[in-house]
Amino acid sequence: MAKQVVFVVHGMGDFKDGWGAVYSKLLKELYERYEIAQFLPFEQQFEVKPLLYNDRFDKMRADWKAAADAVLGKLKPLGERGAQALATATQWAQSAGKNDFLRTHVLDVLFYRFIPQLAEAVRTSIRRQILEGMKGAETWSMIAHSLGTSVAHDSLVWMFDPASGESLPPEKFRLQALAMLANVSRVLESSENGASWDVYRSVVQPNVKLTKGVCNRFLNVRHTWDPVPLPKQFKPQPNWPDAATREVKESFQDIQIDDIEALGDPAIVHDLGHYLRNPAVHIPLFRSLIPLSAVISQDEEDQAIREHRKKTPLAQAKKKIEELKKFRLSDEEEDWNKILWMFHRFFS
Amino acid sequence: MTNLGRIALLFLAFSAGAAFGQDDPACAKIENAFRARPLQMAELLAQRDCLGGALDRAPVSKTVRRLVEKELPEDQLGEIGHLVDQALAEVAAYLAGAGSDPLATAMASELEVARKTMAARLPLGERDARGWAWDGNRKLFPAAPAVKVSAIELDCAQPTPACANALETGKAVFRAAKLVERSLAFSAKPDYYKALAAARVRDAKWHHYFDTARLQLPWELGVNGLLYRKANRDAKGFADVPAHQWILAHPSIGMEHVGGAQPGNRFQPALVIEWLGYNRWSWKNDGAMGTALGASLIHTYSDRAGISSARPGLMLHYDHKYSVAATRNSDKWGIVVSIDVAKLVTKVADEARSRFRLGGSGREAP
Repeated sequence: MAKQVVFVVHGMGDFKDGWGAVYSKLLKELYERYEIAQFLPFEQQFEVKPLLYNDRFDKMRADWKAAADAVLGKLKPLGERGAQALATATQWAQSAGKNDFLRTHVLDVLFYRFIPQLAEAVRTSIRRQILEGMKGAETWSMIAHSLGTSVAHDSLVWMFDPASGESLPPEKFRLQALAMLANVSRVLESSENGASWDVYRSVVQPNVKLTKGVCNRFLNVRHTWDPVPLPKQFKPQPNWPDAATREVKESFQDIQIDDIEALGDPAIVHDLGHYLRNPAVHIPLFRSLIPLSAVISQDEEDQAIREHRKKTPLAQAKKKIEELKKFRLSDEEEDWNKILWMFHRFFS
Repeated sequence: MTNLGRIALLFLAFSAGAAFGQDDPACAKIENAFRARPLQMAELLAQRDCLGGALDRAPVSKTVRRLVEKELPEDQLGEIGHLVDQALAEVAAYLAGAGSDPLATAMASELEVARKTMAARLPLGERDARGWAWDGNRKLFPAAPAVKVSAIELDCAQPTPACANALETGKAVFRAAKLVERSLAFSAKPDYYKALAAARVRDAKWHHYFDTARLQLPWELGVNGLLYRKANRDAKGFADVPAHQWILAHPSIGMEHVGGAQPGNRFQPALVIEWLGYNRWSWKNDGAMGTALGASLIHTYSDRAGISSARPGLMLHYDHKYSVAATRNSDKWGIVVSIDVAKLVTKVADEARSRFRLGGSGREAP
């Protein structure tokens, strides 16, 4: 049965084969909270396909480590011959294979932005995975997160920009929805290569004209307190997308959320699951994937947002404050009856 | 006929309408739940594959799907045009038989425009496949702007003749649109296969660039990256995969034979540093690599009693894996081979070979 293929592109981090299963399950769980799932079941409507590019970075680091391991012992005597720099550099290459935050997160971003061969290899791999994955699908969409937003943008440029020489006509192949969560495509854009790669001028935008743009719906989502998408933020001017497209409700949705689900690790605000679980994100997402008026009523949306907020620590703290306010007396209060009654209520 | 009789007949019409194409319980569920809202019912039925999809029992749907859901081998893609023409003709005939409702007539006219455009071998543009997908926000089929669905956007809590008509017309129009969308999507297969083939070839090239060609250490990747960046800029970001690589300060291990060394010390592992080198190859049509050739200026370093351990030389590379070099110092010539070559003439243990491979050296097995 023809379905909508929803590709999910991961962000920076240590991702392996099968990384997307948890998000596939999450999307299903979220969708099934709403009445529409009774009529349009998740399994019948969607096939979630995670895309992987981290394997290229992992392999590069592993190759460097293996090569450095083989020669480092022999390089040490070179220090006496003034070639210590080479030994140091090789040592650094060896350390790139370590599995820590710096190597699995920061290095991947630097690789993508500053090593054009790696960036191109990643884009090509993603493009191939998309094309293979969309075979037989009725339509397709994409959810990209963090570094994945830049990878998605650039891969779509290759797929749809006529200058690539390998492009697909959007009137036949455009995405239904493109959701960019924690969008870093602007700070990582390779605009030195021209307008095709400039996120505000590239083909990667919604357009009411089917022969332009690449998608029907474009969601740009950021969390107020997520610092990652902030530098050189994707914040288009009113002329992006064009005026005719802007007039179409929901063609471009700029969504900002600020709920924090839990205290503890502050990095949760950048987490893909944290973004998706917020009804202010997944409801517009589902409505964009299935653009029908029956998909999630306003009442369902209001209730979902209320329920979600109720669980956040901030909401709980606010609730506590409201409770505490009830004990407050005037700061000139001298009626001992009231004071003692307040003590009684407060401590009991 | 009394009013009561008329209402009873309308109820029967509703029931009959609901029964048509609702054999599948999933479709029946939608029809029962959205009977009061004909537009929403049609939207959902189409989305659920009950109109123009796998759950649709209407003959036109089966015929069209049989025509355009074929898995054609790539050498038979030329037949697609004919099959699509046939499919669209079936949809047109279906709409013609759907009665004279203005909505169905408008859809038939829009389809006719698309068929004429195709017959004239002109691009369909806004009337192409994606244009026939329902846009629920704008409440239109972008490819068929004349189809004004407000006519079926009724409140049918109470059955009326208009409602009964809206239900059937809505189904006919959404079914037709879905079948046209499927047919035109089928016509896009050649574009799809072309793009897929191009992506696979390019992906194969990048795979070979990183995994078959000689390993580039970070500084080599940086230098080659600077050169590729320039080529990419010149090609507006769409440059082909490089067919060469510069080698810079690349350390590895080889086997060096120095004739003038003491017996027992003549053939032994040596550190090889390629200070500057160049390796190039060609690409085949399927993204595979042609034969690669390269050369490097090198120094070898080894521990041998009685002769200087630092020996300059020239190394030649063949097919990324095989390298041979001549070195000379203190009038003593040496020959260096990569471990892959060395294994042809010595019994170096497999494990040692994999650890000390030159060039593409030290890579983990895929």
